[in-house]
Amino acid sequence: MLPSSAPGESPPPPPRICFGRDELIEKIVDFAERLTPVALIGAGGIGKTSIALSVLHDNRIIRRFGDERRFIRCDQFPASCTHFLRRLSEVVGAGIENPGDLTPLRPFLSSREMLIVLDNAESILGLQGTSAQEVYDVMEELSHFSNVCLCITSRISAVPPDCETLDIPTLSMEAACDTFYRIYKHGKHSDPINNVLAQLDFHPLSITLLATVAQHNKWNTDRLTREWERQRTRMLRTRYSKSLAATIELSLASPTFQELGPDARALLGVVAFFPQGVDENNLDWLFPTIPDIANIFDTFCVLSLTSRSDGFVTMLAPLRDYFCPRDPTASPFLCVIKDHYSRRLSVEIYPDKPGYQEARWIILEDTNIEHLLNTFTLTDTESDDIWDACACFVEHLYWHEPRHISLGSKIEGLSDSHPSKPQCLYQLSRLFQSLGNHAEAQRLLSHTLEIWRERGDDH
Amino acid sequence: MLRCYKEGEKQAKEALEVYERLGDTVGQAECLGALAISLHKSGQLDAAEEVASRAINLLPKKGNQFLLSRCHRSLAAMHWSKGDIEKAILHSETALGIASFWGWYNHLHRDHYFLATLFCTQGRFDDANAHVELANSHTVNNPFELALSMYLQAGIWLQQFKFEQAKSKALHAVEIFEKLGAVQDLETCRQLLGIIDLMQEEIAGLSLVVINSWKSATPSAC
Repeated sequence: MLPSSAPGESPPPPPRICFGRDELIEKIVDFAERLTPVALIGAGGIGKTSIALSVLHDNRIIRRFGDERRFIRCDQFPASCTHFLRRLSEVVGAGIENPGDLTPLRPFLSSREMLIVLDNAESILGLQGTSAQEVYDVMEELSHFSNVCLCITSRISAVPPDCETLDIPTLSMEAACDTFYRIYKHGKHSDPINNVLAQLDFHPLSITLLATVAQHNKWNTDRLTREWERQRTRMLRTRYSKSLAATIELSLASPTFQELGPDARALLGVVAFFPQGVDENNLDWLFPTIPDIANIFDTFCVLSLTSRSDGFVTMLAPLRDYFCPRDPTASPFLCVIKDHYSRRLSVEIYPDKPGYQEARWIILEDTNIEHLLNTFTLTDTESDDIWDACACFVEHLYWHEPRHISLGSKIEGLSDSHPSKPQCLYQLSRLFQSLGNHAEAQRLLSHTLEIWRERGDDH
Repeated sequence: MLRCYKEGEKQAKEALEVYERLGDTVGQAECLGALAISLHKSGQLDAAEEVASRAINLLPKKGNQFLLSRCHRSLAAMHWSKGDIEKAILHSETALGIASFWGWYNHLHRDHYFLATLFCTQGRFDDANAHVELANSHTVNNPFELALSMYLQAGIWLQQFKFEQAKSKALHAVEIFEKLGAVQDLETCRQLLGIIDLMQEEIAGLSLVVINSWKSATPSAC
């Protein structure tokens, strides 16, 4: 690349390849050509910086802005408005050494068309108190310059209102494979690898790290999938200090997150635990002891740690894996939630009874409940409560969403002397009946009757 | 169904005795409902009708609408077996009315399914198609009932000589029954597929005969 003739700093080179982002890049280039400020929002490692750099090196952008393409990494100077302004002045080549505010920079900024990328802007947008307001005001004013196109990349969605906000999605399957196999050369395209990539939700950083680790260790496909099963996201770290954990911890270290209090991380653990995430309508009910719980969950979304999907607060798979408690049954929040759901399941369901229609909630949360029960039945084998809840869960499914369940073998494996066994078997039998598997229904029902008769409980 | 009707009859009577001892009339009605089904299935139609009617009379005027609708559903099936189509439709529509009123969507499927089957056997294909579509609309979250609807739809289309459509539906139903382990329904559905294939071949063969006879009857161009 030719040295820049204009004062200021040239942007770093573009990523060698940025798979599956062509449409998005095109869209941002269109915004830039119209000098419309734009914010790329998304979780750490989703590829915001790669996209922004690709935009900066797009031919249309080079033609339009020439040397006035600027790139500022906001996590590489102390987080304050003063340092931000100083860095801004250096990068754009304004020649003002320590601007106290934007005033001395205005004449320069107004004098030419330029594209300024503020990368990792969450580092300064996530400040607290007056400093936060100052930074926000500067960014807002920058977004107002009619000759400046501001492009912000940030995990925090609280950006100036004039910015067109683009939520950066994960990769497509095809782009994820391209990204993976560009780095990994020790194996051919295979379904097990595709499966691992899908389990990573096609999260770009996770895929890059996985491919790098596998390539460095010269793992073949079998070894790679074995290591994935064994280590999961813990394996996503290279020898050169790049890791998924570091990326995630960066978000947790932000003042905005810290301000949420000591329970915030455990709450993320709850979101991570549930395969469907947490139903937003249930927040007050699930976390009665946490004041302003809705605000905490909003902040998780603002920080791109979680996202919303069909009324559920959910999380990208690599983040889920990272936050999910290693022993969920030791999580006080999950224990309380288990009790809440057990109570909710304990209502009598029969079409004539008032709770029948209300019990349809199970259709929305069935996967979560099954996972919760599966987890707690692993450790709580002797407890009556959890198995009673299982029986009720199966009954809920019988009435509202007949389907196969993974709890069946566990129920059958329960000792015949367990107080809840016959009820669980009975409900399971009905479930099989409703699925047209009459032989299985009959077998389970016979077993149920046998137990009830043995107990003299056959009325 | 396991078709153990005698065993069903025995157990329903046993349970009925228990509920009689307990003085639980709703429990008795439940047992009578089950007994009526067993009697019906074993061909004791008059006894079945009498027992189902007894169950309805036992039920209090208010409440227990679910059980009431089940009894009407049973009576509809019994009348159909006896050849009294009008009464069968009447009872089925009563059951349907109750299920509609209470919004029991999964039971609405059963009633529409019943009526669709009944109309199909009567050659009233428009009515049958209308009810099977309604049945289908109530199968959300219930793959087994979805497969049943598909099976029935295939059967109706077969009778309307829409072989390709029938085959496609039946194949889809087979796939679902297989996944669910619904062995008996799977077998029935495979039999239907066999019939579709057979009829398709027969019709094709017949067409060939007709075409050939037409060709031989047509004067040569030269």
